[in-house]
Amino acid sequence: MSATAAKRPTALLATLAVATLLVEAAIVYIAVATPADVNLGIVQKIFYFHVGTAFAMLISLVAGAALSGLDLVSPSDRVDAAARACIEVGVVFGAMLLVSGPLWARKSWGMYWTWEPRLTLSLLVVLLAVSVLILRGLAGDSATGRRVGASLAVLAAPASALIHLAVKLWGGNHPSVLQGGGIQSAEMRIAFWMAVAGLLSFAATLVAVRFRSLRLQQRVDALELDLSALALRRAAKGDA
Amino acid sequence: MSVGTTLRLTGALLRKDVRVAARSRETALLVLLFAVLCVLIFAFGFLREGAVAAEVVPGVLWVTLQFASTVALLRLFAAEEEAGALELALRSVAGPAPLFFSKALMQLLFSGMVTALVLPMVLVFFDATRIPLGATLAALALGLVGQALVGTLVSGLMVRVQMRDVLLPLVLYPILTPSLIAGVKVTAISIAGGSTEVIGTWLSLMVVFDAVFVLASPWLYARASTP
Amino acid sequence: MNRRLLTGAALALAICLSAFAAFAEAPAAQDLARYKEESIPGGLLALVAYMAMWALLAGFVGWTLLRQTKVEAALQALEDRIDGGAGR
Repeated sequence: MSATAAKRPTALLATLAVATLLVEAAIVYIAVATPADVNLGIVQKIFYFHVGTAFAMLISLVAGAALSGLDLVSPSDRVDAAARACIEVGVVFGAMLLVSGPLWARKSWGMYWTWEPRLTLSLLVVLLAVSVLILRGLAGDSATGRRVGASLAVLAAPASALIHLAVKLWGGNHPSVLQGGGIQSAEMRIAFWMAVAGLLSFAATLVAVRFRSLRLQQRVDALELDLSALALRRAAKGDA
Repeated sequence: MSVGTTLRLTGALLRKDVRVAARSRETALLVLLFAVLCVLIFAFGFLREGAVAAEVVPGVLWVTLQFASTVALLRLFAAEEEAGALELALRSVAGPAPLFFSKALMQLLFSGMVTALVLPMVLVFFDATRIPLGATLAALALGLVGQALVGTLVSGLMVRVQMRDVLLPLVLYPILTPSLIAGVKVTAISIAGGSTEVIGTWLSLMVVFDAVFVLASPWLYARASTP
Repeated sequence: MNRRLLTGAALALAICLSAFAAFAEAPAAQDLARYKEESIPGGLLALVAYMAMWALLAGFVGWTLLRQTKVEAALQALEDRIDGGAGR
């Protein structure tokens, strides 16, 4: 019936397979092959996936803001759906980042949370992204609601840059993130890049799946509108 | 539209807003009362018997101003929400830019009024009347401008959004963090007698903040609200 | 179609989760001595971190699945409406 539903998402399945393999391989490799950190011990193994989620969050949110800007300049349903998919996935990876970070910090810095610049920045950026999504949900799918959501996503970009500047000035001499948790051997480097690649491809798959779903929703909504208009016209004809 | 025309239209719209506010006076009263209560609540929360905590002064001052300004922001577009007045204003010869700037100036008037009340109150209640105020006054001016620019944009974007009274602070506060951090820092450093060089760094951060949003906010407002 | 894809994603996550068995490696003797002094063992922190991360991801996939089911139900309703209209 529907053209999109019948199309086999071969590329998506392939990405998913690659992502799964990479993540799986990375987990096994991290558990078996990488040595425990000289200073931190086994807890350092959080690091590989923690940094990967940070990359995935950053890339998704930057892409989401950029696509929102594009949608603001030349509105299109496709761009809108892509922007929303990116921001959603960015928020999920942001949540993963904010959960794994404090658990690692507990061991390496002796406390769950410090107002270290990068921590503060990620917390605020995730909060901003969440508020963009909530706003999108509450503003409705009207053209105005879409523009409002997109403007806010665009606004978040310079805001994040300024927050970064401010918290860096503010943070002063807190421990820097990579201190004591760096890459100390070739195995660690391999594991690190495997985890990063796996998480990035997983994020890409999720964005693609959400994008398809949102596009489908848009098409269903449009069809429902068409159908209602048609029914109205028929009813009017019947009356005449 | 030329700069002169924009300025004239902004002035006209601002005069209208001031007149409306002067007639009803309810928003101003509401905001001022809220600010007073805010300072009182902080006093109850922070004052210890026998010891006055001078180190809480920056936080109390800036957080009170941020909260009270939010109340004003929620009422900023109240007159335009009725009877499609916002659409008419946007479609009129004025367009979005003068509307935005007049509302931002109106917000600045409100928050300036709040500051004129809150600053002496905090200084008196927290026994901080002897601290040097020069840098703090400069920071307040810059901070309120930044707050008005971002706040007017967010408030204007959310005119048609449900539950915006809850959503507005949720969106606004993370964006305002740099300005808030800088303001608190400037006041704290000048109370502690720190170097003017460090104060200068923070003040220049606030200047950058204002410069970014004096450009970004009207542009985004025009993009998001013109049909 | 997307549903099958999502079921695949959920399955993939489950496989990833199962790999936690690999974490059950015995810590070296000198490590053990060092960790005895700590109140919170690092291995536990690492395990909790991994679990929480994958749980969040799995939650998102589950939520997506739910949304997808809803869209498909809406699509089905639409098709029924169109078929019904054509029959009239």
